[in-house]
Amino acid sequence: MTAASLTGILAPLSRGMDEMAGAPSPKELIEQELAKASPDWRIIERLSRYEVDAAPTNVRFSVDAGHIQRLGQELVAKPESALTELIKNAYDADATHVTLTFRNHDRLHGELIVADNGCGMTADTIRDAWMRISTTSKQDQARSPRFGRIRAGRKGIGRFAVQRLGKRLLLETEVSGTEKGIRVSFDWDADFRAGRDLYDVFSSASEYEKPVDRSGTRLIISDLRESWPEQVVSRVWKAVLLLQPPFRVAAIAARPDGTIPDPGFEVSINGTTSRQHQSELSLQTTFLNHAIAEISGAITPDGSAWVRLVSEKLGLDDRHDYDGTKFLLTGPVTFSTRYFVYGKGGLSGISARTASEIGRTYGGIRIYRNGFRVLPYGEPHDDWLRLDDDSGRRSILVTARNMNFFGEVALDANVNSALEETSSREGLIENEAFRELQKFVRQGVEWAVTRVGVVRERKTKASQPGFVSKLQPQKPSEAVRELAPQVVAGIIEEISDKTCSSRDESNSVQNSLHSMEVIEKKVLSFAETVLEKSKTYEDYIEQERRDSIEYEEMLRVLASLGLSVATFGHEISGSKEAMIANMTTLSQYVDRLLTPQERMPLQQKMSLLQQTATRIFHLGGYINTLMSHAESRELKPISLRGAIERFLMEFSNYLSGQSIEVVHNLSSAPLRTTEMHASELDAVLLNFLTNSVKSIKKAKVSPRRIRISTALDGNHVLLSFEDNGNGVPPEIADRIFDPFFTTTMTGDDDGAAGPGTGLGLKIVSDIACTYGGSVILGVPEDGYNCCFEFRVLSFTKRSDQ
Amino acid sequence: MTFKGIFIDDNPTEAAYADLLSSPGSLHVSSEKLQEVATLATVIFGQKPDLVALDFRLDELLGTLVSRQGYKGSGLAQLLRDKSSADPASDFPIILLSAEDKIKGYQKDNTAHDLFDRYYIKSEVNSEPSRVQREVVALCRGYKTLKDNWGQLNAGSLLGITNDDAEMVLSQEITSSVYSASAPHVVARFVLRNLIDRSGLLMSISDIAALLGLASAAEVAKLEEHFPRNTRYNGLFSDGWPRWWRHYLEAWVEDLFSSRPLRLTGAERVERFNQQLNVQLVPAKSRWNQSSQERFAVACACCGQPTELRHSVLQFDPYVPRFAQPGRICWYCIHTDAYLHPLRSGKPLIIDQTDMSLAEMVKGMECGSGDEDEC
Repeated sequence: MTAASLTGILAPLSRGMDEMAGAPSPKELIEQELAKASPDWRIIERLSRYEVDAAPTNVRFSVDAGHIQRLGQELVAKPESALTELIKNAYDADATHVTLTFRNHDRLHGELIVADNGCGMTADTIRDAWMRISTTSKQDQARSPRFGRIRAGRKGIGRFAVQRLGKRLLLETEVSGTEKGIRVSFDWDADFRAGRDLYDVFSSASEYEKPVDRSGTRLIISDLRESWPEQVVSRVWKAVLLLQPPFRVAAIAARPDGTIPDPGFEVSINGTTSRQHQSELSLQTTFLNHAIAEISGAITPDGSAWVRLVSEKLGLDDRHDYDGTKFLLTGPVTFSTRYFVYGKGGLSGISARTASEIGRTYGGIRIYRNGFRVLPYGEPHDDWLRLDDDSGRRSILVTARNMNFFGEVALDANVNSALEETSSREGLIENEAFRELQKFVRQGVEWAVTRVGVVRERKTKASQPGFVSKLQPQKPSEAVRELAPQVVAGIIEEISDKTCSSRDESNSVQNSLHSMEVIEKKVLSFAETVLEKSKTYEDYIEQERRDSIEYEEMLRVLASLGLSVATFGHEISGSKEAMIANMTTLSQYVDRLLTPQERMPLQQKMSLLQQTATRIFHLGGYINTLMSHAESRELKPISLRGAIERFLMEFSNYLSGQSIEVVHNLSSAPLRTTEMHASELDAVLLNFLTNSVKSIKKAKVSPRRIRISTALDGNHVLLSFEDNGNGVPPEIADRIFDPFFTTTMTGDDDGAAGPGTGLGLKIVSDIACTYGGSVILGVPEDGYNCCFEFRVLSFTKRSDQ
Repeated sequence: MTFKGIFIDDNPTEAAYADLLSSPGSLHVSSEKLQEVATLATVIFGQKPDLVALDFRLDELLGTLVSRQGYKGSGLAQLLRDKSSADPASDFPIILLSAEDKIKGYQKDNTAHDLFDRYYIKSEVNSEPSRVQREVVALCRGYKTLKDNWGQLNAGSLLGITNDDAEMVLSQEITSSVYSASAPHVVARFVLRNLIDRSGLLMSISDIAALLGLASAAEVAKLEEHFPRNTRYNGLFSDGWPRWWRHYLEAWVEDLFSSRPLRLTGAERVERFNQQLNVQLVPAKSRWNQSSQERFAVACACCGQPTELRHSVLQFDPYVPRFAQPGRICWYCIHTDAYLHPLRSGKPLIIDQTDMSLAEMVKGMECGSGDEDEC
């Protein structure tokens, strides 16, 4: 029977019994229908209901079909909330993947398909749960059946959400182990009209063939009620972020008790606008790509190991070999992890709070064996690398808790046979091989984060007293941008909650007053937060301004000093040759004197004069050399080897005069700095040299030794400058790069080394920073007591970038 | 005979250089006070000097001159050259003697380059006075030879070659330059620039070390007694700049080795010398890979060390005559950018366009690598 014929039969009933004079009674109509070979049970059901309702001793509620529309509109205020609910439903259905596909979503009447690979619904579930309003089925089952997930969806909102989103819905759902799927279509606006009894609205259902092992649900929502601009889609994305661990979804071997650990949940949103603009949101693009660095490492078959640190944000691509350490028990292993620092502005598009919550919920370095996850490594309570423990005890000061990593170690049972799972499948047997694995990953991670810390100018070890972080506080505008939407959303939520819950007039006034109070508190709190952040930022800017003025003053002092020195050097240099010429000719005249009595005293005086003059000439020559280098304003890649060789040649007389032996170990690799001023590299070498000379003199050591070596260090060139002087005392190690910090306040009697200004290493540090590098105190080789490591970007690597 | 030299410097404290340039019994140089340029040119020319040495900047301490009367050494040299062109019999060498930073000004002033026979940095005179004295005396002697034979110059005699060698040595480029010269200083310039300074017909001791595959000039000196009789150049300016005829040396080595020297590595050449001449020589080492198993060919235009063709690039030189060899720069000097700061001249060397991409490649290579590209 068609819907039209059904309506025809039932029409008299709807007009009321008074108008039915002569017409058959409901009971007669039921009998007539039952007498048919194929009775229409819908007619019988409706007539029976009429009879039941007509009984004078009972009354009951009935539901208008339009109620579905009102529930959709009122329970789900915003379309993005509706969509979020559908994704949460997929999560609750133990899906591992859910895909949202939009078509023409940037305007009205588009289409949205929500497809998941969850457990699907049987016909009974559709009837008894999905299509039953205010069911308690979900409340009765607080956890999902397969993976034991805590239910994320709000109770019974999903079906109204689809109505909220579009005018029509085609629901296709499949359960594993059956050959047929169920397809139900809904036309919300046409069928669920006000005035109709909800019981009288039937949606057509059918079955279709499907593979037996396939399960899942597809919601094809068409004739969308609203357009879906990118920013709304992004809001949906952010709302479901926390459901998704930032790891690949991977199977986990079932536990001995038969329960299956949760392999994870992944959402992807694909969209094509009417103008064929593609949008794609995934955890990779919105979260993982914002890691500050990627760390990877491997143990090779011969037991040697390396770790690599790559950070586009910091311009790092460094590699570290575990020199001298062999990992012979584990077998070949690889690990990789993304490293996050949840600071302000570090993660574009996600608030720091959300990001750190993701970190707390899912962070850690997981272990996978043959592609299966091995628990509990990487779970929130697990600390197999002792990262949380050591961070807590402050033996690592750079950010390095489990929450800061999203990584995995890949094991293969064939080659990592010593790394066996326990019989309870609750981890690996903690044998020597496992401890080796811990050491390998931990050391690699620690090296990498320390390196990041150095580049970000963070204190890396507890042994850096007095270190002042140079983190920039959040700008007030950023704070407003971040907090305002939260405040506005809170206010809207408050208003809509009260509006929904208060139908009663008397409650309405009370609720409004309460809402006003809540809103006022929220606004005041917001204003206070912004004020506080503004103040912090102003203090920071003020401090920066003071520093800047101080630095400018320093530069002015240096500039005028430089001019004076340049003039002085020029004059000395100009006079030098004439002095030598005159002394030489004078010597010649003296040599021509006839008697030794006349000759000897004059020759002695000439010798003293020449020695004294030589010191002045060294100084003049050195200044002149510097000035001639400073003439070049051209930025160009500089051969480290060439620059060092020229520098040593220019200072060979000075160094031999100081009895300093220079050993150099210059790499044969083509080490070229990024484009920089040649004079800057000379200034770096000169500062190191003068510091070394002063330190060596103080140490009164013999032989006096300086060692210069070069190497390629990731995408940096590294220049190490060592000496066997006194070294840098640990208590001042963290201050030596500060401006005006000096240990030599009194004038040194050596011209070139000179008195300390406290600016040398500051300038070296500035030069290193300008060219993407750093200067740090390194570990000296045997026989040396001080080592400065100066890094700038290498030319080749920069070109590659 | 004692030649007479005049030294002009605006700073009286520099007068000591007159003494340093002088060689007792050979050259006496005296200082002359600064005057207005034309007057001074006339005074100098009138004294018929055998050498004039000028500071480049004569306008820093003007003395009695007013500022508009200031001039540079090149201005005075131009007037002197004009006068000697008109009177070749009175021609004389003019050298520039200046501080290092002033020499840079001269190097940038291309129009001044043809006016001076040589330039010397004052520090160079201080550190190597005897070499400088020997060279300036050689200039005086060479000019005297030219002036004595002016009008009847014979290119072969000037270069001290026998008739047998004339056909091999005296190319048209040489004879036409000598016979068409308008004044002795033009011939002097040609001989100094193209024969003495360039490796080609004549070889310096660095060039010989490269040809013979020897480590240094000292090693060459150990062999010199074995060189054929006429190998040493004894022509114009030979007493200032020791040079040897290439064709004699090459023929001698080929005869000794029964092979062209470039077919043998440095180590092989030295081994043959040691065996056949009973000497103890040290072979050259490539600056690029520290190996003596290289076929050394030329002295690097930058560092002067023996270098092999395969580890060197061509130097750009638009004026190289046909009888001379174009310069080459070793890969090490390219790798370390030393060619941008050559030792004496300070003026960056230019790489020939044909080898520019190779030079860029060398800059990015590991030092000592690239042997697989043997050619």
